[in-house]
Amino acid sequence: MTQRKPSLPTPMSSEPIAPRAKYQTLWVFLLFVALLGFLGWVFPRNPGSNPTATLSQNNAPSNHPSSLGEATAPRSTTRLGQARGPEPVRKIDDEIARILQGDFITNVYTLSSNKTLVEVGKLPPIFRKFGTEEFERLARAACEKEFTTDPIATEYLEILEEHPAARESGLIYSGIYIMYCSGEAVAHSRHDQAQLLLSMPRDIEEAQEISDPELRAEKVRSIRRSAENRIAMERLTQQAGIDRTRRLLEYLYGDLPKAVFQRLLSIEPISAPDPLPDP
Amino acid sequence: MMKRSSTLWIGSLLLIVAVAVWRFLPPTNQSVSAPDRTPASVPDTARAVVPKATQGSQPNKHVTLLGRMAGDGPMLISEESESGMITNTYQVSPTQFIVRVVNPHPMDLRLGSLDYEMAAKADFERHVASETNLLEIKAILEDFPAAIASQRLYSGIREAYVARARMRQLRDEGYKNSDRVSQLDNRRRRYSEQLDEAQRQQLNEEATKLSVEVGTMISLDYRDAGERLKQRLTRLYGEFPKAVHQRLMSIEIDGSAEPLEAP
Repeated sequence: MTQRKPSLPTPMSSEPIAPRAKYQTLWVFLLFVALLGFLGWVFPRNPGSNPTATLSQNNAPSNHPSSLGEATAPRSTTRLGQARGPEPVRKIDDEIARILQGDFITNVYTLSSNKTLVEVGKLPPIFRKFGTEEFERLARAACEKEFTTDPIATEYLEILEEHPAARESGLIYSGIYIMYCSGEAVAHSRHDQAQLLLSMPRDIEEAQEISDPELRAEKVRSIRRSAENRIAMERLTQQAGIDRTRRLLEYLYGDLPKAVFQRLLSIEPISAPDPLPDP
Repeated sequence: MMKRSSTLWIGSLLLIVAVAVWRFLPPTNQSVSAPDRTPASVPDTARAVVPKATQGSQPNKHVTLLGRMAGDGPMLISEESESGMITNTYQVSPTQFIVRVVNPHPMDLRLGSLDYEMAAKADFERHVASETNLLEIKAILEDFPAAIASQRLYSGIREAYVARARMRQLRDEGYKNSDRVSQLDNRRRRYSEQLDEAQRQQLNEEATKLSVEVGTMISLDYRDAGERLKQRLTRLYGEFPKAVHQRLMSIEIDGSAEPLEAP
């Protein structure tokens, strides 16, 4: 006796169905429904909707205008809060290329319609090796030494290790070193801005000793203007430094989601590692 | 044959049921309770800020360190009473303790309520034009499913806004404090010959008080503000991933956050 293969019931069929066949068909139908429900359950369409789900680094898009503004650029995946851009390959813009060649970097800051300041600077010669194993080895030694005195900074390592592109690059410590440098520069810039703000009233008070009212007024105006310009300059330099850090990390890892960069920026190390020895 | 076939079908169903039961079991590393899902329309008391059992044996107490471990440096022990009053005990040196009691604004105690959410939303709409980074805070919390599902998104934005404004204010206070110390040092050096011993002693004590006591308390309060944000958002959303907290901590707020107005 051969067992009839189970098949789905066909309502169009006019043939009478045997009780045993009905029984089997019912089982098949129930099994089919259970399987559908089971598959839908085990593989939910949106895991992020799970109330206990933790932050997904790769699936949740950001609604921030800075992300939406670049939404037309081609990209196959959307990372959390990441501004979409070119494909994640090593991006070498003009500034990064200059850093790698050891050239001077020129920044032009427009403070107002009639005020433009030009800043020319150069990173230490070791940055010509940036992105190489040699730089990584030196950065690792410097950072590991620093971790022993500043445990907060180990968060850099934790964050970058969670980022696949950084983990797979083998250049995690180069990124940490860059973040350290950026953190130190931001802290200095904030300190300088605060000092400018705090010293301005004292300078104005000193200017009050000038007996000539016209000269005194001119001096006060000059103090204010100078402090305001320097603060504006500091702010722009600080932002340019942060942007450069991001581009350097993108150069290292090819890809740096906004969420990862924000996490890195939140770390405030107490001190910075020693400068890397020049080649 | 028929019997074997039935066994096969029943076995398959049992397998499905077993896998489904397995699917029900929570992951072993899930120590935080699910967020409070009370809808926005329920009375405020249903969502009152009540510490949850899963938050630890002393959910309203936390310790902030400046050193690597307790006893290694300055420390702040912050305890919140049932009434919301906060007692901060600062250990600024191994032998010196300073206690400060903070009475929070009445609206702060209503975190999680519909009133708070409405007031927070109005506050957001009032300030977003001038404090554009509020949009960035909103974008970060919108990436966090529990914040969306809680229907308390604006409460979270308000908390982050207050915390970051407070941290900015504390940073400025730190700079002012350092500046006062250096001004005192300058005065002491400039007028050292004109000052008598008692005056010199007074200037020394004042400089030490500013640099050690005030400076340490500012540093501890700065660290504590970040931890307090984490604590309050965990209460609000039931969980609060470190990654989301870190992202919020990168946002700069320029102004100061005014107390929330009751709707």
